[in-house]
Amino acid sequence: MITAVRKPFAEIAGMLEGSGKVLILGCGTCVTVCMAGGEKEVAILASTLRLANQKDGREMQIAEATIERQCDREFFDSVRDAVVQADVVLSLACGVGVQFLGEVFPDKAVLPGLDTKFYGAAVEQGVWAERCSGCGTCVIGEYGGVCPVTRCSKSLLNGPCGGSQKGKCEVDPQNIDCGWQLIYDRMKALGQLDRLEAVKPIKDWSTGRHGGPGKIVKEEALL
Amino acid sequence: MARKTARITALLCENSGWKAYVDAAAEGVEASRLLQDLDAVKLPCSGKVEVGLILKLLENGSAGVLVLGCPKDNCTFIRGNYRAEKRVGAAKAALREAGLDEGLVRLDFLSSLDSRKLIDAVVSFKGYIDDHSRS
Amino acid sequence: MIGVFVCSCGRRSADAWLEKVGAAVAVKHFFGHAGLCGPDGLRLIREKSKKHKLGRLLLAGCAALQSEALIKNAAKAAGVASGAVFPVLFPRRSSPAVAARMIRQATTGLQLLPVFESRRVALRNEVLVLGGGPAGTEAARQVAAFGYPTTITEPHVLESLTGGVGNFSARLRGEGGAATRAFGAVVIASDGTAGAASSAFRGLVPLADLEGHIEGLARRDKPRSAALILDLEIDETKASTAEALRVALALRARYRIELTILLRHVRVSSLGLEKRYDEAREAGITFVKYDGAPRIAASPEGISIACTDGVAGEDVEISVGIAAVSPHGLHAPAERALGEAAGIGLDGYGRLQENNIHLLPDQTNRLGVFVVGPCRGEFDGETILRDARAAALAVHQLLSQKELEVELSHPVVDGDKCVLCLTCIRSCPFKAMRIFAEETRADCSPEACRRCGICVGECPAKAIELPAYADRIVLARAGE
Repeated sequence: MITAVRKPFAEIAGMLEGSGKVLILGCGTCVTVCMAGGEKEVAILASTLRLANQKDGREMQIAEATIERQCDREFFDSVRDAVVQADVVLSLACGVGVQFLGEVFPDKAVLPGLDTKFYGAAVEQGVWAERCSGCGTCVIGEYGGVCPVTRCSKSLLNGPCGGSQKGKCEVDPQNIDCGWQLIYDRMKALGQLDRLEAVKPIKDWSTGRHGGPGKIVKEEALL
Repeated sequence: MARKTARITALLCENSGWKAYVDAAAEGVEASRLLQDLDAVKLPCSGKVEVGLILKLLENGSAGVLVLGCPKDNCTFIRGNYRAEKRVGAAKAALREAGLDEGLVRLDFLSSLDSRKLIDAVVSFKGYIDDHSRS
Repeated sequence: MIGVFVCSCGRRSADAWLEKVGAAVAVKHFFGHAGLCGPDGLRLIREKSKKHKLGRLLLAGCAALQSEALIKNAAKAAGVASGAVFPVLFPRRSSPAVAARMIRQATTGLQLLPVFESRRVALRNEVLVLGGGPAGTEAARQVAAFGYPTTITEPHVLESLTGGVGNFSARLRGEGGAATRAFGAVVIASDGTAGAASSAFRGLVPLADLEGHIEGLARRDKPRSAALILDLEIDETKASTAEALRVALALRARYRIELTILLRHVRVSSLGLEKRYDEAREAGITFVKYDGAPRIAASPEGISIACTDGVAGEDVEISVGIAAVSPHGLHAPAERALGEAAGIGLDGYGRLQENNIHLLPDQTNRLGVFVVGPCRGEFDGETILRDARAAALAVHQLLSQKELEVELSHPVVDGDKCVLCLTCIRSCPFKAMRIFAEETRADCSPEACRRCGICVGECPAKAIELPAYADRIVLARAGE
């Protein structure tokens, strides 16, 4: 799922400076799961802002709401009035939701309360790690199920670099495993090491972000 | 004009803090007097304390929030007090972000027999709150 | 209808005080009494509850009203459930204003309090024992003697254990695949010593095999020196010290071997053990109490061991012909796997029982699942048998009830908000939460749940509510 972390409080407070009526809008899907922008986090942020405002004598009305998700228009219907009444909407959705909110309410100033990080999974409770880069042409099957684009810091497709030491990546040996060590170990266990002898050509990066903003059309689903 | 005494909220786990509070309140006049500016709330476990609840109480006028749970490895529900420790830590971080004193929320551990410690904890916390009161 | 009963015992001008409180509280059904905790008080409660059809009661007064027994009696007298009676504690010498305030706060909370129904849950009488060693067989024998159909199997056979007390579902690996069987209670009695031979320390002999090993060597191959290493990865118990002393004294007497025992603590708190320790010292056996971890390597003579002597504060290195390691000092990875399969927490040493005093002697975080013997760190023969018998008794105590009355006050999950992030399922110490696929949400089992509220606090979607402690009730009680 998409993972994100809440922006530093000081940054958020700075963005809201001078606003009279604020709506903090949470999202009930990805950011709830990674505990950054769900109903609970919305309440905590709202309370923190109110406490800060009380202390500094700032007048600000802060409303809270959380909808199922902010990447489909229909869900905004239930909070339409709240959005219209606010001077500014601080969205605690991922970057997709924040923008979509702005598209649905083009006259409303929308602000991001989170920094969207990556496509990832929970490796343990409370810890999420990046697993996919959205390159647009998935080659995971050729690498024993480990993505070289994401797990290798340099996205190398034909083997590790010299910075691979004791299974760790030189970029951050404490925290990053060498992706190619993972690929090697996995393919060895699968008995597929011989496949690594094939040289992979340069990847066509245009199928992902590097080709510009993407779009998918599923013909038979069009109404 | 007499200063309105600050009220603090105590979130007490029913297996330790609440029992100690009941005993403390029964102890005597002096103890009662020390506990009179306290809003005591019983919870099943300190592990139910939420960051949102702590902040809400402070927002709504509580001068300070004192959380009392069972000592480490003594939690009736095994891990509740460890969760409480994490939550109070997060609440303190939120207070720091808001520019407030993180000492407005405090976590302490005691057993159900520790009525004396409960009174000391309340008195100590009240003293801190009175010294650092928000106007 | 809420009835407020206020006790005025021990107060001067009790009537005047009660009047002031009554006026300040301004509740329709307000009753004062000089001794609410006594039979007269109960009579008043019964009378007024009936007359005014009271559904909720507030009992305000001193600490005597807080007792569970009194609340139960009052509830019975009023004809309501215990959960519908709420005690309010007045500090001594509280003024009418303070008393009234406390009553008002509690009343608001009480109005919001749901009344819970109960459900009777039948307890199955089948018992599963995991482990066929001394602990397991003794436990199984005792449980069966109580008349419960008992199944013993090897621990590694368990794939998963879902459900709650009286209704566990154990998925057991078998010849034709895995099968699910139902049990009322489970006793885990695994060996706990799987770490021994598989340790990374080549050239080390398990302590129990040392004597046999040396006996099997030809005379000229017999070592002149030997080391026994305890507490290598985890601290051991006095049973290990006893075993090490026995082996050391035997070897010294029989083969005149130079012996060194390396351990972190000499544990002699058992009958005769201190005397045995003295004997060992007198026989010329050297003891090294080390700090940290010893470094073990091959040497020309056999094995070299380097460590820091905790007493002298100096680094020590010895070289011996043969070294033995006590398996109880090694991590047992098998326990971790069993712990995960059974949903049982481990302590800091990787043993199958969390380090919490409420669990002793043989309980686990899951009601109905017990641990005995080596897997929970108990290696002494006598204690193991006592452990097994205690667990059997506990199983009997539990299952002889035939059914449990469970109050349906457990947490409720809002399916609209729940996003199945799995946080509650992972956080619950009692494994009471599960994935309810049909409604795409988490679901709480009232038999296993202990109503601690940890899941409520962890849920990032605010999708779980513990009815008796819902936010609005807690905030009302806090005087909001």
